[in-house]
Amino acid sequence: MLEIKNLHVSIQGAEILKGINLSVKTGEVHAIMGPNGSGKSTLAQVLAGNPAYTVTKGDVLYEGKKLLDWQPEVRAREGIFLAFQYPVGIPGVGNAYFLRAALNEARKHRGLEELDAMEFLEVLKDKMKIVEMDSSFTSRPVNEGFSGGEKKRNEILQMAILEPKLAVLDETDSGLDIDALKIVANGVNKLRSPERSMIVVTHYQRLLNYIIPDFVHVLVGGQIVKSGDKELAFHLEEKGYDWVKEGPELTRK
Amino acid sequence: MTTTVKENKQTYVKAFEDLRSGVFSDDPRWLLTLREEAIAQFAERGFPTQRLEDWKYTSVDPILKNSYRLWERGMSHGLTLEKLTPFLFEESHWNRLVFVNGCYDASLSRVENFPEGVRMKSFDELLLADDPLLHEDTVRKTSTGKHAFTALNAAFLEDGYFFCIPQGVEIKDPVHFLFVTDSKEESVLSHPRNFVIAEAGSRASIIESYVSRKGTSYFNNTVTEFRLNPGAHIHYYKVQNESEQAFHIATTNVRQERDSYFSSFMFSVGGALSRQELNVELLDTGAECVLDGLYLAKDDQHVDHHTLIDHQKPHGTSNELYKGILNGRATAVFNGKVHVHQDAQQTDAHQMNKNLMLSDQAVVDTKPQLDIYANDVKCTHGAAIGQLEDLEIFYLKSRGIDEVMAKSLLTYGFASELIGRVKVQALKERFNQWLWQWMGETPLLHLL
Repeated sequence: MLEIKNLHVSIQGAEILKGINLSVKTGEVHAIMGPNGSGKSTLAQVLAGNPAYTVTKGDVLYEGKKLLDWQPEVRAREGIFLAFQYPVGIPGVGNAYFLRAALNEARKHRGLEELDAMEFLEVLKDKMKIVEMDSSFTSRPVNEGFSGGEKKRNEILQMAILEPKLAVLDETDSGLDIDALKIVANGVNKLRSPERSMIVVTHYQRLLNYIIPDFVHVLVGGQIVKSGDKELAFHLEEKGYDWVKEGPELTRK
Repeated sequence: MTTTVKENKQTYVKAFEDLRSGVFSDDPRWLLTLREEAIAQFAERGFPTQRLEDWKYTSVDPILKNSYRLWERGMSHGLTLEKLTPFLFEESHWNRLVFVNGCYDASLSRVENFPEGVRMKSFDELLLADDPLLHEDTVRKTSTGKHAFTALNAAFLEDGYFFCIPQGVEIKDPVHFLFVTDSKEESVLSHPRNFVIAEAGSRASIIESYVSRKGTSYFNNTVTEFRLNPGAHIHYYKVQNESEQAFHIATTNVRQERDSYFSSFMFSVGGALSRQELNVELLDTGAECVLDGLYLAKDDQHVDHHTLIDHQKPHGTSNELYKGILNGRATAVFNGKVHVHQDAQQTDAHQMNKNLMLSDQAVVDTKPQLDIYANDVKCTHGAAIGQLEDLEIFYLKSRGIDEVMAKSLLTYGFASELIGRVKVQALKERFNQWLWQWMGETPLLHLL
């Protein structure tokens, strides 16, 4: 469902991704790990269409179509979801209103009827159980005055409502204590399905104890230097990133 | 008789002399004295130029280029209550005084079921009846002000509203003073002068709005004077939604006695050129004021807000937050001064001005000032000018929301902090509606 081919990406003239190749099939969960500055967040942002990044070379096919030609909002309506590392607050706009607006954009795009406030509330109530949120979240402004953990839960709630085909989770574990991490990871696991692919970007192996990936890729210096199954994550935890840093050309898949 | 003024101070002085020997000659002695003193001050000062520090960023030349027909009692108009609906509130039982082209119209107004002693009248009505309220110091010693426009207002003053709330009386529903300009051919110049006297312990919410039914050019030069006696509690909402070609110069003076509370909300969206001065004197201990402002300007609009908070005695509190949203080639000025006298120990004063620039051509000049002469005070001030963040826009787009709506939602978010503080629900909704319309969107209400 997703084919990344020789992807090169720059920001303000500096090349961050230097030829990424990655293939994700429907229903698979891929973890992207790497040290700070390796380009893993860049990859997540580029898939969602952040205009701050420039693709200089390469291609991304999503369900056989050229993903890079689409505006971010089109990608979202086509089923791509990015859970942000730092979700943005929107004062004055209630969470429920925002989520309904987002869902209805996707529904319109797919030729489905829009949900009215009452219908949406039913959907929302159901989905909120996934991330153990109480009803006070619905009337609070989006991410305003939310704790770090609440913001991350809210991202997963959005994912639950938008039901993406491809979910990209950018450092969803950062800044979470162990209880919050469990709730978020549980939520993600409940949303795993044979129809939904996921790319989980993380610095630490910790998150992968809860969200067990099918594949693990190690990103160093803008290239995938090693790929393997979930065992690779344990090796990394034990030996550190220095272990894979030598000879990227040899280990590249 | 039609009196027309244009361009320089001589035409205004000449127009005054004509009226002095005409309609003004019937005025009581005290009013004539006030007028004569005011026109003398005006003649001496002339119109402000940009060489004056207070007018550095606002040129009044566009106002003076126009010629105006001066206010005249009984000028006819074709307005009906139905045509006013967009400017009134669903709660039509709210009491209101309606002024058309500066002139009070009793048939469009409504004054019913007030607690005993409440006076809500037009200045002209009081004058005709030689009402004892006119003997109040607030009226007799009304200020001719600091500049040409306040002096002109006193010299030419003909009408305006008078609102007096007796001791201990609380008025639950807001009262509305609506100034509609509906001139067809000629530009009208009117000089409303309004008075609010809140006796000790009284409470009320006041809406003063300036609107137009047609996109014509005219000039409103207004003065509103507040006196808050000890413990009085006033919420004041000033709506400037004039025609896009209109000029609006307004001065609001507030005198607060011990433990009184005054809040104001200046909502400014219309006018080719508008300037609103708000001067608040905290005359005695424990007085508190909250000054909020939201100004929206686009195209070639110019909007200027000057505020002065004068802390004269101890234990005063002031909180000021003005926000501006600018698009097109609009220009805005914010000048906020907080003066803390040596006597005003334990003052708590906070002032902030924030501006959101939606275009590269818009300009804002902002100047928050603190003058502190006391040594035991808590004061902060600041100003910010920013744009919508690309990352914020991207966040919304990544949820399937298109760019135009993403920007509108974030712009709304910037303003919502202020609009959320409006205590009158119907007014809050109206402000939201105007904000969305200003952004070119179908109004989205109830977003929370």
